Amino acid sequence: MMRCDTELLRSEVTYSPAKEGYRLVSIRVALCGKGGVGKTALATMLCGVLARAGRRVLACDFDVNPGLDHSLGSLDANGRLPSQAVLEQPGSQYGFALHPELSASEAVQRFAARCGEGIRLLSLGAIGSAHHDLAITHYAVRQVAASFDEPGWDVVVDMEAGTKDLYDGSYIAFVDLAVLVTDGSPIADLTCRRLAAIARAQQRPPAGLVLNRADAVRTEQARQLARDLDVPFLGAVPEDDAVRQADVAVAPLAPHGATAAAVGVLAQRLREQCARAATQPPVRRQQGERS
Amino acid sequence: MRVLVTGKGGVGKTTVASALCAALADAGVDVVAIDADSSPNLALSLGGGHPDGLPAVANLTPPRAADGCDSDPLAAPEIIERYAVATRVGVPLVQTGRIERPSQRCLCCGSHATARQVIAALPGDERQLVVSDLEPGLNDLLWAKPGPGDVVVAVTDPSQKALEVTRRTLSIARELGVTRALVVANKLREDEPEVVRAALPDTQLVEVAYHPALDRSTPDGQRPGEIRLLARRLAAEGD
Repeated sequence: MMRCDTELLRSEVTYSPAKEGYRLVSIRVALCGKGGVGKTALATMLCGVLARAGRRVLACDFDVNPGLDHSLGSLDANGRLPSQAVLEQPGSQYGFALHPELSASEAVQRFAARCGEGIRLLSLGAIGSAHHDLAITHYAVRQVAASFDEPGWDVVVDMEAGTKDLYDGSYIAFVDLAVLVTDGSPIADLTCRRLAAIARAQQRPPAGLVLNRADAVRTEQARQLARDLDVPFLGAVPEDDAVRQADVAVAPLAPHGATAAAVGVLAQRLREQCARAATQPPVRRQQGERS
Repeated sequence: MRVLVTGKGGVGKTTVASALCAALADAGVDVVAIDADSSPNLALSLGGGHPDGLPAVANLTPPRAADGCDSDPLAAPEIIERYAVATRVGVPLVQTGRIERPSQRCLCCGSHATARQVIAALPGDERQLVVSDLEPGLNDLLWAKPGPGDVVVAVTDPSQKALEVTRRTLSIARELGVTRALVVANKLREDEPEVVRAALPDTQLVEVAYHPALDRSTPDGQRPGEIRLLARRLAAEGD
């Protein structure tokens, strides 16, 4: 059995020092949490709020059961990289990487799907067959997200449900911070506890905790959970039946009223956390290290 | 007989799996439950205690080679003897693995390889039903390699994302030669059964209404009536 070469990704980790004062620090976050807590809905609303504020946004769907294209109202392709954008790299188990002549910016420009004003979407694609080949583009898509660093752009990643996307430690390659999402259920809270422990073990404490489908009682409980985990409480996005109905009806999701206001607060706090993270020293990772 | 419970995250796989286990046990069937999720929580629903305090196979069996994806194969009696825990509903539970810390092993290794092995090692038989609660999405289902002898229970809610995963699940199950696949349509409000029926024509549907009491709770010991009926049908097939 060949060695599983996750170092392929680590080589792409670059540390960006704090940007100049006049330039907004980019948000680079990954939304993590139990399935069904609303990661995709939050990612969609976050992208919308950022785009409306004049930012450009690279949305990444890192779930092989994708849904971000529906929620963002993707107008054209699904944002997958074509196989020509990927080059074989013999000797590693995954064996594939982004074509060396293709920069991350070009890849986004050429292949990311357009989703309304200012938002582009990259996705891994969906498992559609028992003999799927997603691994071929999987790592190349991650590489694009990792090295994409255009001024004026934010990067919002919608992760797979559960803990396994953080497991291989490579998430720090493509974002600065993980955002823990809960809906206040005991099991979703438990998943956040597990995610926080995994992120800390990588010397990358999460950006914070956000409560989705909030009410007053659950907001108090979520604040307490954030204190337990020693992470910032990033806010509570209220229960909103319009969000649920958009999910059932395949309608693009555009938040209004209290929901939009809460997502605006979330965006502001995320930018603050990313600005703080940018002043921290880079994470060092040694070959063969097992934490 | 193996019953593989699969579906998008948050649709209620664990609720359905635990209700199914409980109802089967009520009906006198010999049932073993497997939690194949690397972020396990079936123990909470079956009344087996806190999942992080229970043994998990992958966490107790280190991989054979330092850089390999495989650990030593496991035999069914050993799995049950060493790793199964008793639960309040009377069904022994095996947790296959729990991700506790980051690792440089690739995504296919560790808890996933073990889940694959445990599901393969416990095929069940005409008397014993093995109910596996799989990870969200389709990866686990592909790795479990179900065949004609197995039952795939695809759990969905009425959201288009979940229905899309369900469509792909059914198509992949057909591709793999599964002849018994059914859909549990969960959390249905007023007119939503129509949404599901339109999205999944010619599909064997078990429709479960939205129970506010089950929303965001751990459904310890709950058995919705629709799942009881499903359990009776599965028990009859096993005979």
